[in-house]
Amino acid sequence: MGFDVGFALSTIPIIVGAIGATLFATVLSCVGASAVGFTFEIIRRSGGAPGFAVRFLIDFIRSTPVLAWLYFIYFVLPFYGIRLGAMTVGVLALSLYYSGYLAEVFKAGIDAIPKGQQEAARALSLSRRDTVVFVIAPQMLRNIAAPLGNYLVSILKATPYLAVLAVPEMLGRAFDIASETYRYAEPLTVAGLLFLALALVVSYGVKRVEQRLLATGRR
Amino acid sequence: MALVIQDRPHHQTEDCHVARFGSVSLCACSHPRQVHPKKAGIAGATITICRGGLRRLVSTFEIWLGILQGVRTTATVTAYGLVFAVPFALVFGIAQFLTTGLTRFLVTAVIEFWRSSAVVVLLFVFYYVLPVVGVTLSALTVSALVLGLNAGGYASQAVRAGLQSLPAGQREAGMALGLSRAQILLLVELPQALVAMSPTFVNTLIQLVKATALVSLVTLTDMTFRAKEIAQTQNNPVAIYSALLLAFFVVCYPITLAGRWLEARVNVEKGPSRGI
Amino acid sequence: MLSPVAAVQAEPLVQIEGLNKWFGALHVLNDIDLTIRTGARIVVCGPSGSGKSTLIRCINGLERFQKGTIQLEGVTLGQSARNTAVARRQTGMVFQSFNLFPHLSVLANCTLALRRVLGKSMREAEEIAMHQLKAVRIPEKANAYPGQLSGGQQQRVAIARALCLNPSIILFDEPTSALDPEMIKEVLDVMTALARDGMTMVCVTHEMAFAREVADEVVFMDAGRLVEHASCEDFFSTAVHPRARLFLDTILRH
Repeated sequence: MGFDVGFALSTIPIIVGAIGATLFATVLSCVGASAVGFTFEIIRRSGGAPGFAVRFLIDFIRSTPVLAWLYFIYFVLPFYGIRLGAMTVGVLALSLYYSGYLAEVFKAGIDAIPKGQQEAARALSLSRRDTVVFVIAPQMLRNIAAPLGNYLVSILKATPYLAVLAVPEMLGRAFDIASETYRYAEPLTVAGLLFLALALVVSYGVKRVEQRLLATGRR
Repeated sequence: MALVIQDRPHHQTEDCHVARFGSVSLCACSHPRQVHPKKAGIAGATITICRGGLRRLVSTFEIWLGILQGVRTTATVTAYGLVFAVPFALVFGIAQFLTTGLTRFLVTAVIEFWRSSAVVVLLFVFYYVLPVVGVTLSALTVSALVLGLNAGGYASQAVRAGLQSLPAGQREAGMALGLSRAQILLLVELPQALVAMSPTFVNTLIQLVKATALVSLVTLTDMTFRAKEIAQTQNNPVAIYSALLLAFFVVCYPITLAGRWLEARVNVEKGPSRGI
Repeated sequence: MLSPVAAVQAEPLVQIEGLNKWFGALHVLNDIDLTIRTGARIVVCGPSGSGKSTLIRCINGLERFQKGTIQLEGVTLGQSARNTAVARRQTGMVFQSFNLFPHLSVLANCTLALRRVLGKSMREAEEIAMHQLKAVRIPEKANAYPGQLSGGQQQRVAIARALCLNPSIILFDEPTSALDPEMIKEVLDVMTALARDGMTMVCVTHEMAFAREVADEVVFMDAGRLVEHASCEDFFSTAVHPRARLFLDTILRH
């Protein structure tokens, strides 16, 4: 049979056409994971029973594979009468899974701010809200920019998991072609290379943003 | 009118779904239809609940046993994967540290290929492409290769970073003692770098174990595959997929704890030298 | 030495009575009584761990205390958070480690509280801030970021930032301890000028030369107790408490 380069090339436009779904899932999951992860970290910080529960939940999430979460959410929610689209389920699963990691990122980002910063804000009579908005959050954002960017790339590389739920992202599209033509090697190779290229481009972009942030930090 | 006509099929499908899910939940519960409603007094109801509870307990136990049948494959892929990961991480991490120019570029390219590719896609690519180009490997070998080298790619960066973070004085002290470059690497630099990076390796190991869930997609009967098999015969997704998550937790959490213990020890060892 | 201000007749600005604080079992402040009059320039000294910093951090509510009262311009501090807020507005604080906000320019560090706490307009806030930056002789760095400044410059900015809110008293918590020797002078000069202008200040410091030149009262603390409170002259010539004597001997010899 052999590897048909011509056929492989012909699949490129079709698979690239699904790049929107891949990026959509990536960005949405990253936003979702940040929101959930930040909430987790705030609850964990406040301590008590909820803090302890969230601490365990984060450990649990970090000890379980994203594929198992995808199946769990995909099959369990309908059992309770909640029916969501495959894309929604995928974004939910990725958000939940990566929230466990991003909570740690936020933790490190907040811990790295010296205690004196909060004290100075109090000494200047800034309100609790103003302290968070003008003193803590900007410094935390600078601290977390680099690891957050790395997780953006990780999430991008996890989006092909959604093909398992028949979400029409790039890998899913490659499998569509494969099942129509009974040729797997070519579309999958194309998908693999496209994902590699996309990951390299995004991580390059992340690095550039990171350098710019570091530069303004030194300013 | 048109609206109504258009609306109808939609409603019908809704009803179908509700009916299907309704019957599913009936089955999953304690089969109340088996008990004649009129005869069922309080005692009868209690027995039914007990019997239902017992049956549920038995089926949960069966699910657990079923999923655990896959733990051997999970363990095999992990161990086999390490056979690829560890040498790759050491060789390429050290190579990236020592080489310069074109060689370093090539080494980096190989590492980046394994590290920056999406492992899901990579597994399928190798699984389907290798036979086409005349290389026939078992699903197990392909899985171990891809997952192992992906993990190895990550770990190689830890090796390199560990070596780079050592103060230059270490190498200079080695040279002053008349050690060769290889001796310095082997006797001075690597031991320190590997100790410092051991928590990162543990994290990579956990990632590897979790990534083995992927092999269920290339027909290997690991824990995830078993869960899906059981899901075809038993309509109890809550129990099945909870059990699957819990099974991975039972495997990975001890490794997490070991990693934390290791990290605390590494930090303690670093402590005094940091103080100076 | 500065001309002695009419401190004796002036109004009590801060009145501390029976102040007690424990960190767990550690009794860090033990029955402290202290009156600070308007225009007073008090230096607090003592061995490390004697509770000096804790004492002045209690005055602006950064530390809570378990027993006693602190009155600041007639407002009682402690139990009610509202009063703490009122008191904090009357006090400026300068920290050992500057605690400038690294993500904000020098000017923005100074204007933040003016705008957010006092509700001043941007222009008004910048005017006040520039005025204070001139007072600490660093107006040319208004648009620089803290990371670009030397330690001495950062501490001067921190003083300007504290002055912007026009406090009735300014608290210094070892303002020169984190500085390289060659930068200590520029900060002490600014503080001396501030004292000359009649600002009420309480300063925790080991700089005895500064104390001699600027302070009109010296407070000596040891193990959570206020063991000596005297005029500057009396303290250096006739401090009676053996611990104070010992401290002076050690510190003046070096």
